[in-house]
Amino acid sequence: MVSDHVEGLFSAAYDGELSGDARAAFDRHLAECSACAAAFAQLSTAADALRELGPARMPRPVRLPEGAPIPQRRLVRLPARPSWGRGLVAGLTAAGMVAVAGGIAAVVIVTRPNSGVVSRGSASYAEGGGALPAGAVNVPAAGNPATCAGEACSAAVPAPSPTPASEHASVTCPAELQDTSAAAAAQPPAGFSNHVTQDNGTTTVVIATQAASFPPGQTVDIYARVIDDATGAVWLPCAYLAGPEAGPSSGAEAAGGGTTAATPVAGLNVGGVPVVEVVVPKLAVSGEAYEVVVEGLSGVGEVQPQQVSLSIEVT
Amino acid sequence: MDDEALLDRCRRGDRDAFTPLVHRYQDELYTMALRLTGNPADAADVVQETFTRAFRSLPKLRGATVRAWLFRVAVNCAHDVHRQRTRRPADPLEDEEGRVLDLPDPGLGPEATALQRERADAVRQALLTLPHEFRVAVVLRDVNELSYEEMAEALSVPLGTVKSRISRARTLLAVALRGSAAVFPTAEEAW
Repeated sequence: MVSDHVEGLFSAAYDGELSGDARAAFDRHLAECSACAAAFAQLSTAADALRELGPARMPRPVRLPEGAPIPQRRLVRLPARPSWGRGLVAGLTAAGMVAVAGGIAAVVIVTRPNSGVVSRGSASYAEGGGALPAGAVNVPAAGNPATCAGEACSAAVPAPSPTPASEHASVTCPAELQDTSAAAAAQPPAGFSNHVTQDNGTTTVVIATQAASFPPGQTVDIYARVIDDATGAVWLPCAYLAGPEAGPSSGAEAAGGGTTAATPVAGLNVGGVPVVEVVVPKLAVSGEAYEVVVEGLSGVGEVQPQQVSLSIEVT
Repeated sequence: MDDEALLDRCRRGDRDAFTPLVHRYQDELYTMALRLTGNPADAADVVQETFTRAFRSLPKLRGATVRAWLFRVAVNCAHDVHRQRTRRPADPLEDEEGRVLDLPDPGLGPEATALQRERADAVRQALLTLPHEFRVAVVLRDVNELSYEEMAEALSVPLGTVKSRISRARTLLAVALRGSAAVFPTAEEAW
């Protein structure tokens, strides 16, 4: 056995990645340790043999799709959807669009009936919660979901409740889930029976919840994934919970009530799978439908970002 | 014209600018796909699908090199093929085709060519016994000679993960080749 020797350095040594001193120490060890010397020679021989295979030629011509390459997508404002209420639309246009430039929408907004936005937040992870290994999450440089793209958004949407740094890692929604299989991500975890999947040809969006109906005040775990069909890259998007249409008396006053605090801020994972959380407003009325909304990039030939929603009902 | 310039033209809708990218990378991607799948027909499909997806997804290429991005798309396509393969066994006749597509060294005599072929067969077979993620790692590194940084881009994993996968993959490959006299002429003594 060579596990107590320098086996861990074989590959780096083969690649010439060891620094001068490290390489000298490595060579000294090999000179004294026949087991390591033999094992290193075998690894090198195997890698050399692989390298000797040489190149192959593509045997047939590549056929490209008709038309021109898809031109770079231009971001557009989402059309107002009356059923969402004014606040949500404001939040989307102010904050979401900036984040869509980086791939996917970036804020979590909770509305309540006849009110518009109550508050917003973004997903984060509990430190040490085991949901994601260190360094496993890529936060896009473009846009900044944590600050909601500046003052315009702050003015329209109350700031989220501060989360103690000791409890939660940095805001990470949307985030690329590195080393996550696209095929696995496309399947909601066990128990998430209420789900929808939409593939527009370039991006697959999956949304799932553990039930189709929830009582007011209930925290809802949302399994949401945006998958780049080309690269297989998997993203954890943020999600919106969009409520019924805002009534004529809705507005800032109603939105200011704190009883339905949006809380996609807890340590978020179900069975090790990261999810986003929102809370059904406490003032939601039984029988009303809410929509969990996630956005992906716009698809081929489309001018609007792909938008997928999943309905839940208030019990 | 370099990749970035071609990419800019593609983004402006210039179809002709995509063709040089295909010519530049198709053999490299095919070689990778052939080593990953062990099957020429599948490998050609992987390359075809890679460029089809790339053609449609150019806007998603941000902050990465064209080469690393194409490898990322190709690895994803190859992974899809790999998953299908677990349900549909490879046709052994297709493996024969794979051999003639490799380029033999014209300077070798008949015996040396036979030995080279035997050695190459052993490596190809050993490669296919590796778990997919390790096969990808060692192929990108030792066949396509991607840098660690390019691999991190292509696989969307941290640099440390790249290094550990390559290391593990080479160890597994060496173990898989233990019994091959063509690769290890003194294998019995060595092991």
